[in-house]
Amino acid sequence: MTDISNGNHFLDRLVKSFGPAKPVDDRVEELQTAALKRIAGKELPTPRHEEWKYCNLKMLSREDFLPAAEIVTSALPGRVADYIYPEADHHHLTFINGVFSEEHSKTDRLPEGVIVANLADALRDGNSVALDHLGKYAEWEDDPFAPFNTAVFRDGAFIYVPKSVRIEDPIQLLFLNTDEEQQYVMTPRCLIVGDRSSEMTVVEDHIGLGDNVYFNCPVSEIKLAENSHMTHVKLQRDSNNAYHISRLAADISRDSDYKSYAVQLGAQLSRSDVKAVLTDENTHATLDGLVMVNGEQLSDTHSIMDHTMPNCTSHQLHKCIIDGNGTSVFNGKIFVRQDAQKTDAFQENRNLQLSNSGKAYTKPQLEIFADDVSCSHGATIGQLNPDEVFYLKTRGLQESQTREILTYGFALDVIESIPVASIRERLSKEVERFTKESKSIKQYA
Amino acid sequence: MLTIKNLYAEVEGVEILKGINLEIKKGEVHALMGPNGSGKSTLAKIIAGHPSYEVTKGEIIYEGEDLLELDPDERARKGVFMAFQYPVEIPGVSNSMLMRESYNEVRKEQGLDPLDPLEFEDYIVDKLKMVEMDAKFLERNVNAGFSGGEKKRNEILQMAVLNPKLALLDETDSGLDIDALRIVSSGINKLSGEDRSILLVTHYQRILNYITPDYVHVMVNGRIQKSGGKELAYELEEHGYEWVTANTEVNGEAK
Ligand SMILES: Nc1ncnc2c1ncn2[C@@H]1O[C@H](COP(=O)(O)OP(=O)(O)OP(=O)(O)O)[C@@H](O)[C@H]1O
Ligand SMILES: [Mg+2]
Repeated sequence: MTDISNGNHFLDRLVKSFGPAKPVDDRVEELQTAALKRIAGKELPTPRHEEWKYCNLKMLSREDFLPAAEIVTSALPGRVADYIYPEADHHHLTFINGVFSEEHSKTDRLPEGVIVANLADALRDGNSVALDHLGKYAEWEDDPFAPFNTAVFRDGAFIYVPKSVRIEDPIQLLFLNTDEEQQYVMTPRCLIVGDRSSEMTVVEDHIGLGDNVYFNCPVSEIKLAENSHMTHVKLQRDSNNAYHISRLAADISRDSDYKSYAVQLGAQLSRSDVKAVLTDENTHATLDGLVMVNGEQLSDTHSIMDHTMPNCTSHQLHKCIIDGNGTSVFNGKIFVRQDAQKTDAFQENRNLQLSNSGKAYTKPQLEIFADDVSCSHGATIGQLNPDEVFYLKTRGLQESQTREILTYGFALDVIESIPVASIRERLSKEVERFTKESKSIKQYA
Repeated sequence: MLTIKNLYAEVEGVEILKGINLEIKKGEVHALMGPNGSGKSTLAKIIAGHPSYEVTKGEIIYEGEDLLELDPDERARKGVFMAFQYPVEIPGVSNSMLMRESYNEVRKEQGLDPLDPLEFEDYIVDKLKMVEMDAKFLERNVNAGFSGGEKKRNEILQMAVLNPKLALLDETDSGLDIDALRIVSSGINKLSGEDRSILLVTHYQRILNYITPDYVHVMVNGRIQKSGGKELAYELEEHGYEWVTANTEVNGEAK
């Protein structure tokens, strides 16, 4: 018998393989039961669904995955420490295939009251902040993946920065995914809470060590209380055959500033839904992104910037470089609710096509219900500007060199805003590697 | 140095240059003037090798070589430099990185070893002085957020770094205040010399107070309508370009 329902049992199948959750706390159990109910018997969305038009999950739905915690990891790299940014030397959590690794984590030299811990431990210990905020924000209509994560997640990161505490150096969350024969699925969960007037930088690295197929389905929730500041960098460098489907929700209170920089380089299929809700006056949110696809990669970003109250600003610069047969998708929604007068929202999506066979889809969606607002948005799809190419060539640079530099420059203005030097450096190296490996650029050499 | 013979060129099917003849010898400074849209930038860009323009007739010989056979970067490495009327902003690429890479390309062509960043820092000190630019401009992205005048100065800084044989300066003087004009002109003068030639595109006589041209040409509608010595610039300043169009013979026929 053929299974005509194709995607419909995928999540059920995965959920079943995880087995019943160990009870940690009643509230968590409640949350997980509710999440389970939401996805039970549910089909994966198909391209007929407006939000999944260009992101086909058919291949994913046919794959089999084992819970990562159940497989024996064989291929750990020699030095995990090489993946730690020097600035995060004293505060980083490492997860190997989604499983917390105490051995490779370190959380000393943190100001008093700061918590950087495995989320599973925090919940088991009954940490009230963690219990209060878990599952409050990562909520999307019709979305099966956030509930899937909620239903089965075990390990993850919990960060809490108390009132008026300011941490200058970044806290790193390192997700190392090893090269294994067996296909695994992991559902890391991050919960980050900044109390009043707190300040922090968090960098989240997802790194695939091989070319293997696995399914990474992380969910991050961020809650910033009044007057707090957070910079959040996410680098997705999963295996080129992996699936990466992530959810990020930030809830931002009065006078707070949340800045997110997401860089997507890996995975054959990468889909991230990000949402920032500006819940009170005078808040600021940045959701910048850099996407680079090559080969058969597809990278899809859906964002929601939700202005609910007056006098807030938001910034979104989303850049994509498309090479080979790669596809990039951007759908950026900005809501300006009726009360959100004097909103100042900026959105720009720029797509650079290096190859003729790559595809870019872009859709800015502004829904404005207030009358006194300033919203600017723009979307472009194009090749390298011939005048810029000419300018550099008149400086003696060869065509391929010129194209490398311009491609690098195109990507770099997203990276340049990131406040941590070593992160900027690593990202620039990633960009450089991408441009150096580009066949479309090489053909000019 | 440069010989242009009966050059015709078009862009997107529109003929813009209609038979240019020009000879620039070693050490000479030529000023090229003419009304907006007459084809001055087009000529400069064609000499530099812009791919959008199609040469339909004629030739350009540079140091005995058919220039039209060479790519723009090859021309640059052989000593042709163009300072742009509208220099391009390149976000994400630092000015010093660009200049070092370009200079190293030129050095490679001359069989010299490339300079590392430190050596280049030493090399560029004098050049910065020449155009009185602050070293902080080196770390900024190429022309990004530069004022109009700063962009022009940056072009001359690049010229100083590359030390070309033939410099095409397209309205490097426009948008400069008096001080900047003096600085830029003195930079250009220092970079000119016996072995170097300059084609200076300008609308104004004022830069010619600092840089003395050996010849002045007036381009109208894709042709050089009139050529003369530096006094021609004064006459133009006084009478305007109509004076040329009204008082000129083209190919021996009165117009
Ligand atoms: N890429 C192009 N496509 C179409 N038309 C062009 C292009 N480049 C130049 N032209 C046209 O060619 C003509 C000559 O332009 P050019 O820029 O050479 O003039 P110019 O003499 O430098 O003028 P200005 O003094 O204003 O700088 C103009 O009519 C211009 O519109
Ligand atoms: Mg011009």
